[in-house]
Amino acid sequence: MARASKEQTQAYQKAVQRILPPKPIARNALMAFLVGGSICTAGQVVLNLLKNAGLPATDAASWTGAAFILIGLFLTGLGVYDDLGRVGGMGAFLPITGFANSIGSAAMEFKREGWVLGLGARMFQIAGPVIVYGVAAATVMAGLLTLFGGTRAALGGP
Amino acid sequence: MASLTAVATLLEKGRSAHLGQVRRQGQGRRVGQQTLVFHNRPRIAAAAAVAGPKEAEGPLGAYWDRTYPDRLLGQRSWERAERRMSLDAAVLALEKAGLEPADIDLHLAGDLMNQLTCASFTAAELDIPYLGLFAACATWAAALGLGALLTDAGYAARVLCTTSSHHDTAERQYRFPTELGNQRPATAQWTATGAAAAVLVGEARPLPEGWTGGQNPPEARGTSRPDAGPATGGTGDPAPRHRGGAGSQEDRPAGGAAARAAGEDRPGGGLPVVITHATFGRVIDMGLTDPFDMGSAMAPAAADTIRQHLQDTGRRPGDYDLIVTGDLARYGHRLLVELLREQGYDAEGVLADCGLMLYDASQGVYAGGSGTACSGMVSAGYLLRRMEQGDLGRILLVCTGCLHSTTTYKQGDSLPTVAHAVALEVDRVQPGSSTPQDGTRGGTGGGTGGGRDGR
Repeated sequence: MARASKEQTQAYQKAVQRILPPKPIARNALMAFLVGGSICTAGQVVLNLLKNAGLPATDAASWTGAAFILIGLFLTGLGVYDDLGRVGGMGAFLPITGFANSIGSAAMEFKREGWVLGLGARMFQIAGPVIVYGVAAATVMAGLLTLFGGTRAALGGP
Repeated sequence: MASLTAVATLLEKGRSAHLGQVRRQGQGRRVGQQTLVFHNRPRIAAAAAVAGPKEAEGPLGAYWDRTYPDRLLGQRSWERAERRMSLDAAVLALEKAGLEPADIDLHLAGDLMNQLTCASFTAAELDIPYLGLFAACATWAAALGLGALLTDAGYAARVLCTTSSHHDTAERQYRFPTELGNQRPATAQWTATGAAAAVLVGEARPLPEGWTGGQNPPEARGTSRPDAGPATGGTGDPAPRHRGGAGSQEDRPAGGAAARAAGEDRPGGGLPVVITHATFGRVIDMGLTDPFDMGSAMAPAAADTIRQHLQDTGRRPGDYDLIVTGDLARYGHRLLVELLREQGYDAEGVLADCGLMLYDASQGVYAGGSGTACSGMVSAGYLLRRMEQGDLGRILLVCTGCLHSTTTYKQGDSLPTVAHAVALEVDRVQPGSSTPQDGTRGGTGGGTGGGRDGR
């Protein structure tokens, strides 16, 4: 009865749009750049330090990733990372610290429901899609590269 | 705003077909299409509001009965913390009313949790017959309205209404883990952490006759009610019953068990606020789908209920000192002003929103507060106190709720919304001038309300 028709929904949406503030795209982009950029710069510093300490490049990269996962988890546990995410948006979500936050926050939240069906089952609630579609995208890419084998050589791969 | 005209027409036309029929059914207990009139003036004897840390720092921080330094309250989980707040609010309200849980006939409660667990677990502690209500953030007005209805009709002498919400339980259930670093749009709202409770009492409570200290109160009520009920229902005018109790006052001793049972009588203390009307709203679905913009989705429901209430009672917005919505927040509030204007009501001066009152804009709550406790806390903690102080004489509390679940919006359904309204009024009779007695129907101040009801 009191369900709006499509036209009425559109009319109302138009009215709503006029009231709502414009999305602060420029500010969000700037903050994402600053937050994400800072995290990545810090990562580069650590990477360079490890390399200078004599670690092979691939090992140094792995250790840097591990270190930043730990930092992300630590900041999540302290309750700082959600504030960082609120300000930085994608800039805080995209680096590996954000990935750690998505797993850590879910783990903290659902540990109260038990180790197996709580923490174990729901830890990847947020990170799950990233893993699923990350693996899917990697598979597609790998398939394409195999199909067009020449590309690999052209790109200078091993 | 031209694009709102279509919406206003939708809201306007929905119910007009049955206008005549419904009016005939009214019999004075009901006016217009949706508004219930409480001639016996059920009173809010006491109310309490407890608040989490963020709410304690907000502009209404001085009005809470209890505040907590952290959101977990030393409990194991957010849910337990919410239950604790809910129980605290209930106990505080009962203490203020000078009542024990055993004195309460019915506990009406609701919250935002799946299966109403917070309300139900609280009810398990209180051990009062309990009805769980879900109307999302409109639960508070639904509980007050139903409680008033039950006490007015004599089915309950005292009703306890409680509601609670917790930022983190709501986050976790409706959105994301609490520590997830995600960014929200400006239209998002901050679920209030807190709880509210109110004790409603029927003025014309026939309990003391044959009252044996709780042995068989239902029977005592049952026998004395029917003769009074239909008679008043038929007249539709409470004035004739006005203060008929003066004569019968002598034959009741004022002390002992009777006074104990009559602990809610005005002169003994308590708030001077009565519930005069309730308008339960219909579900409005404007087809919006963004759960981060509930204010816009709920504004039409609020507009519909307010319009219906004003139309039913023949009142104008100016007849209220305040028309306060539950949690429309910044943008929903603006839309409501526009929507009411489209429907011919200029209410901007008297409109307010609990979601905007609860927090300061600097507290990082996006568009404003929300949650079942939002309207509960602001009305129980702040507005009722303002009414007690005499700053506000009559308010219309319109709680708005968004009735979606995580399942429905993920499956692409739109957000159905509802708004329930209760009209609160200061009882203007001087305390001590009269004590409502058993069997007497004339509630305090029946005359002042009677004139208005008829309009």
